[in-house]
Amino acid sequence: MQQIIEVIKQAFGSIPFEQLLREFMLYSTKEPWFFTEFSFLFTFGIFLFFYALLFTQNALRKIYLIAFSLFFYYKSSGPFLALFVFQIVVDFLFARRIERSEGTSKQIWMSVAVLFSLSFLLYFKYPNFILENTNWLLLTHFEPVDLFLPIGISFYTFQSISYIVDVYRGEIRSSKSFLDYAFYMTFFPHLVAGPIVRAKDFLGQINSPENLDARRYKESLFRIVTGLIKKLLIADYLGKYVDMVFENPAFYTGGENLLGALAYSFQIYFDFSGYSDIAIGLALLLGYRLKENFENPYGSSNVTEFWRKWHISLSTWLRDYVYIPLGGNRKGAFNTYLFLLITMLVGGFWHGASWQFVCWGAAHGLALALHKAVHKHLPEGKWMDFIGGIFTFSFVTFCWIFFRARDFDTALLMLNQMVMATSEVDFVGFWFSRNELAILLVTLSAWTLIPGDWKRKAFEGTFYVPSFFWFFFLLAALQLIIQFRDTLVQPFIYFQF
Amino acid sequence: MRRFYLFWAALCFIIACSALYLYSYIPSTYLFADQEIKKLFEIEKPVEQVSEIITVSKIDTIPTYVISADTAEMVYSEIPEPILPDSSVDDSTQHRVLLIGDSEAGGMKNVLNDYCQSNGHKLVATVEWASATSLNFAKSDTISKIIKRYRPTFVFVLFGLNEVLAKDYLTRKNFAKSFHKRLNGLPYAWIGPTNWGYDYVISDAFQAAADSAAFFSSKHLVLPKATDGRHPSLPGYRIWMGNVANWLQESSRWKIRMMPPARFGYPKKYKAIVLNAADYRGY
Repeated sequence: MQQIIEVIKQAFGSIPFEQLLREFMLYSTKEPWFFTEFSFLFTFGIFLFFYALLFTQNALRKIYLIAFSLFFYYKSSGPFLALFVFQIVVDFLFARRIERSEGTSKQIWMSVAVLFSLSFLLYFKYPNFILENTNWLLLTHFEPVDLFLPIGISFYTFQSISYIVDVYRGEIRSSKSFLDYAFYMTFFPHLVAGPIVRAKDFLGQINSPENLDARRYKESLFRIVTGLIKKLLIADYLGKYVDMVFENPAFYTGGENLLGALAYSFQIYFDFSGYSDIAIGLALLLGYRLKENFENPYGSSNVTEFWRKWHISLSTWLRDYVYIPLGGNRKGAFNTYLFLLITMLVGGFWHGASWQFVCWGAAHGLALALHKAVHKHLPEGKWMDFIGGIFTFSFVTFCWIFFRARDFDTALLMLNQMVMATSEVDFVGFWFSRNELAILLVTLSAWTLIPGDWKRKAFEGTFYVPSFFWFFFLLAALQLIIQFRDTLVQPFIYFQF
Repeated sequence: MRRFYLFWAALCFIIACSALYLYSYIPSTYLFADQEIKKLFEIEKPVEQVSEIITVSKIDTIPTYVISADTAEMVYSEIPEPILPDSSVDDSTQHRVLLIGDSEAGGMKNVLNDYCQSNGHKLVATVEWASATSLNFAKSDTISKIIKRYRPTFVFVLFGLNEVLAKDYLTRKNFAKSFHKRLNGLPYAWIGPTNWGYDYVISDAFQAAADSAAFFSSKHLVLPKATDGRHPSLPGYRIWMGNVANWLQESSRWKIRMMPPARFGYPKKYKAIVLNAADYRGY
């Protein structure tokens, strides 16, 4: 006991409070806030305590949560907070105007509002892509510009567009309260990397958050703990090997390249679904429910099913705001395939300003079109689902190579290594030289074969654990992360999009 | 009661993070299933607490081994041209360079000296700690003292050859992390050891401990061997350095100018500190 008191005295005595407070209040480009930062988790605990005090005061609770969300965005993106706030104010006014307008005027206001939102995305994300291609096409010599991409801009732009379009279509009423709209846009769990939340799913919840009962409490902590483990233990661990292979594919055998691509498939899934789990868990603690973003996507038996289960908030956004407005499946078979291709091209381009992402989108668009054309002629049954599942997973993994490689040459070099320099000896060597990684890859591959229902049942089984023990789960997860983490935690992959 | 779980959840986060923070201050380290329970961060021990350390003045008395310029010129003339970097860094910063490492650093120092002088940098000192492993570099504060003494602006790190057969990833990573802290935020290039195909974990462990973009993995380089069958030959060192220079200019965390030397056998103006782990553990 004496030792514990001494340690606490020593700890508190040596804390440079002033310096810590200064560092805490200022934005640092070197240490932007992620959900995985201990400083965030500790601050969130303090925030939650006062949130509990204000929980029944509707206006105060909203203001308090908006303030924390803005502070969170400031710690992630610094001065771009001002731009974000400006966009929120303008979009709010546009939506009010659209609702009051009629006919052509309404259409014009909607177009202006959408272009306004898109203009920021185009300005920050695509100028170098445009300049490079202009140089190539017109033999001009524009210098590339050095712009910092505000974190989350792709997500909140799509979110504001969905709000504007939904108001235009009359699917929702524009929010009369600026506070409610700001709450919807700034809500920090989904702010920087999704899920892309629709106003019609969220605005209704704002004024009536659900009380945190034992079940929701356990569900929240379960999502947060699994999200942290997925990101920091699995994705970051796989990422080390992935980085090495994708950096210099020529240094590695065909088998190692193949396993590098497989590792990236799992890395991106665990990274992004881990982030989504944490976001959903944090939102649940605060009394709000965000929609699921992943539903066992690697267990899909075809590419159409894959896109119903992968990054669901983006794929449904593309369906509702690109594919269906283009005509969907209402304008004949050929046009349906064409619209699918265009939709996925937009999806690819949303991920990044490079031809690799466009090709990645095109490959998925073609696969979706092909599946739509032939699926009625395919035999059905469990074995076909199994074979289709392996085929789909292989195709998705193949496409990830273009998504992850730094350029086309590297991607082609990887494929060349896989085709020309693979032998069974590579896998034996891999097993012995990278035994832990090999075991992890085998485990994850087996895990994809487990049906989603079984996983859900296992997840619900954890609710029988008494509430008190969940503190120890959280503590154990955090210690586990310290135990295995890298010196530098990798940012979430989807922060760059 | 209505808000009980909200308060309880808040306390879970506060208490869990505080407990992990406080654990970092406990002087002793605890084990669980033979594994060290790691801390959120490590408290630096004051230098005065480390006993049996050599002083900087003692380091200065260690003899300097220098290959004469004539000999070096003769040897270099028989060596193939290095791999040329594709581009040079548009940076005229002239660095004070320090090289730290084991016997492979000893082989590399003259090649690095040529690169440094040709590119306007100054190799101020080299530490060749023969037979040393990451344990020596982690536990000893000798390197901290040398850094303090020579005030480098860029550090090259090159060790690991004596532990390429190690399989204890976490232990080696911890040693490397401890050493990494001794660099005290200086820009560096950490070169992994050659391993002739026997590397199990060491390069990965070092890369995980270092800033991965500042780590150059040498595990797949095929270099000419010296007659001892363990180190690269002099041509091997040159090819190796050519690759490192290329990486330094193109993709390392801290890019510095490192074009191939205009000539070889520059005068050796640096302080060469030679230690041997067999008689000097450093801690």
